[in-house]
Amino acid sequence: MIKKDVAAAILMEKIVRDVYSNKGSREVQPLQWSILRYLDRASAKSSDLTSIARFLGLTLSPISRAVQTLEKRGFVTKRPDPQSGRAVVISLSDEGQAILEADPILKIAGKINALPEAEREQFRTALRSLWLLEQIEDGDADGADLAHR
Amino acid sequence: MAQILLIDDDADLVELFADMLSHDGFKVSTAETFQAGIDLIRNGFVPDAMIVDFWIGNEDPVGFLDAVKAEHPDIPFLIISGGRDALSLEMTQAVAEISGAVVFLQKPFRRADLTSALNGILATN
Repeated sequence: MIKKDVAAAILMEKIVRDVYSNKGSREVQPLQWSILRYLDRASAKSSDLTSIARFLGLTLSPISRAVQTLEKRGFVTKRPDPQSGRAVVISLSDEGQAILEADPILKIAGKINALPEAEREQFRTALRSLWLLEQIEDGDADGADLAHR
Repeated sequence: MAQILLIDDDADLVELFADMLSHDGFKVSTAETFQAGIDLIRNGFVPDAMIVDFWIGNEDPVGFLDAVKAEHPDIPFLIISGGRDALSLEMTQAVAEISGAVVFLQKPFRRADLTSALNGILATN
């Protein structure tokens, strides 16, 4: 392992950890931020637990617990789905919309955005390649095809 | 009439989307593999926009999108996906957006979402 690569990995971890550990961010847990972000997407202004779980690649129970906490804190609202008696539609409340302005991800995105354009492009492409490598190393059956890149 | 290239390996879905989009005023060409899609483009077909299913069989979506972008950087594309195995849609969306996707739609989506996204893409390009 090259020392510079370890150093880069340490910096990467530190940048993310610092952003999530500041006072404002600690009030909302990372999974809860992911749910708020999902609900903020134009095509998912309201959604159900299954769609959120599918999007985040998780099972229903952690999503259900996180949504319950977000509802208690007034960041999301729940109402019965008019098209299905059993399903529940989850939506972002005004408070939820407002707290998204403090989303820690935006702080990291802002730092990336401040880089010169050529560096930004290289950084994004490098991250994408890291993710693709991770899929191969995790033994994804289809990883071999991604490895051709 | 805007020309759309639709790439998806689900033949039934391709037929359904193509009918739907034609009815909504788009001229639709289809391909069931990335190779067939790039072949169409290299043979001179330059769509106004593409709708691309991100995970098609064992093909490499990132390689395909990079190739299209290198040859035709002005073709905007909308990514659709229902996810794949253990890969979350959140990560699929992130990789698609780094690759240049203007819009990402999670399957299943409403017809109005697709039409509205396409019209938005075409209006800004």
